[in-house]
Amino acid sequence: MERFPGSSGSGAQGWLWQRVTGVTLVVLLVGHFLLKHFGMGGSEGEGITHALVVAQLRNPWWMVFELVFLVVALWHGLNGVWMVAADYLHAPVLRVGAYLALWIVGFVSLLLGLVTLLPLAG
Amino acid sequence: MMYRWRTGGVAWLLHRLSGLALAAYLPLHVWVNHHLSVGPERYDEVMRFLHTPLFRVLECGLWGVILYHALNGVRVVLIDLGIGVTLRGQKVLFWAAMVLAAVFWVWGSVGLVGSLVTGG
Repeated sequence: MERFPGSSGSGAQGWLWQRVTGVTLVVLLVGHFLLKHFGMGGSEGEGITHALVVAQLRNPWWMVFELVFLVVALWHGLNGVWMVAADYLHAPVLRVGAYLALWIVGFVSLLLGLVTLLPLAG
Repeated sequence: MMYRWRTGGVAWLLHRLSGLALAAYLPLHVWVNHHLSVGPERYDEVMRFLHTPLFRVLECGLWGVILYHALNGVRVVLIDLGIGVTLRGQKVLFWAAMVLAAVFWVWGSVGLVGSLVTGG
């Protein structure tokens, strides 16, 4: 079978890392939801406030947690979209376009996340 | 060839659709949270808006989509590892994942909108 330009190798690496990041995200999401969605904003809380989040991010462990979460979630999400796109887009120009667009979305989101988090390091 | 709507095929399709939805939500979520660096007033204003009943109900939907994708994803990984590979095994794993997802969904949703119902 002819190889499409824009696909990185056989895709087996992407497939394996999708599994590894997926399992990692299950663990990270439990912590994220308990603290950010249920805990502060849940039935007992008045919702999340700037003060609460800033106080939590002063703890280096939570800072590392959020940074890892940001990178792993973005990678898993955008690699997943790429896996779907690669199944349906066959014209080389569309594949390269989708690949580039996903990298740009990923890079901009990563940058936005980093400029939000890093200045709040304690 | 006719497409047969069987458990595995439906699970696969829903996994893709839920994954695409979550991937679309993620950059939006990062953007909303970047208001942390805009300042306390603006951030608290945005969070108050997202704490209104409508968004808390929507958050229950988000929690459901995440649970489906996460637990069906765990099932896919188990099958990749050689656990429950038979047709029957895959089906049993699917329904086990869905029961777990339902339990976690109810538990989480009580935390998200419980106070709306009880008026607390």
